[in-house]
Amino acid sequence: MHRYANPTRFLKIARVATPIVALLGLALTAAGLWIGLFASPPDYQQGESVRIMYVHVPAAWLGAGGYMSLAIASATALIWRHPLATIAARAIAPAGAAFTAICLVSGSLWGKPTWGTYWVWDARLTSMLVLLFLYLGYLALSASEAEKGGEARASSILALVGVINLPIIKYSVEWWNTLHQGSSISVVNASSKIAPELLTPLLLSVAGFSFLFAAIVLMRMRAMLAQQRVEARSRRMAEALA
Amino acid sequence: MTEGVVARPDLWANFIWPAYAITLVGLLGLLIWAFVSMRSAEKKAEESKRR
Repeated sequence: MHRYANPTRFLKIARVATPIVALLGLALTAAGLWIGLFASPPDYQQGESVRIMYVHVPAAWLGAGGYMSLAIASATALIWRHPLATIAARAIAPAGAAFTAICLVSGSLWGKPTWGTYWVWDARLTSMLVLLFLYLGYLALSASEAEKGGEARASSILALVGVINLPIIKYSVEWWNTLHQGSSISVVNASSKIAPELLTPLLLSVAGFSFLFAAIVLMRMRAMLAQQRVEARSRRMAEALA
Repeated sequence: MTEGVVARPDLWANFIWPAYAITLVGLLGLLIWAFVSMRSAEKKAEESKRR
């Protein structure tokens, strides 16, 4: 792992991987959403509104999964003080926040025809809103740390403290009586309660959104590494002139 | 085939089109922002290297 954490080696791999990952993401997302909209049948209970699932569920998984990777990168930055880990965390945060916001908005639009309301202070909805606030807090704190040129200590600690929210999101539908339905797919048991006609476009969308998430993170990491190179050169030049 | 589906009132009534539009605008906007910021940062890094 440390072998690939070298910024020069990482950039070499990222330059090749970025277009492949982005194109795979676009193709799989297009396929998933196309089948979800035009080829999959409506649900026997929810009717047409079930089609929102193909954008809502992948966004929710990546919002929560993205936070887990943000926390892992932050822990790596705190323990090993690896600069690439801090850059990875700072690259993950805006993508994770955007996916969480998409999940909340699409969920709200799904709530209106299903529950008769855009929003309820239900445990699942509230914990997802808290996740968005955690992302926004991390973004604000890490931006201020980056501006001052310091290490990402406070933002990394915030990211780690926020991990407590992930099991709350996962088990909120079991621990409390919620309007939000229980889980239909179990990754641990590799089982699903969803019919294959609806599951196929959902899995395609999940794969597509995941590749798009990875492409955004790779591009942001490349941008931040390039900015760091410019700043380091400017510093060296200023020192040489002094 | 798609034209009929696009005009279907039940897909508007169930907020399916707004949900898809917001998601796609969000995703593509994020992707374009990440790409443009990466290109401009790498261009600046190249220029500073040449100087």
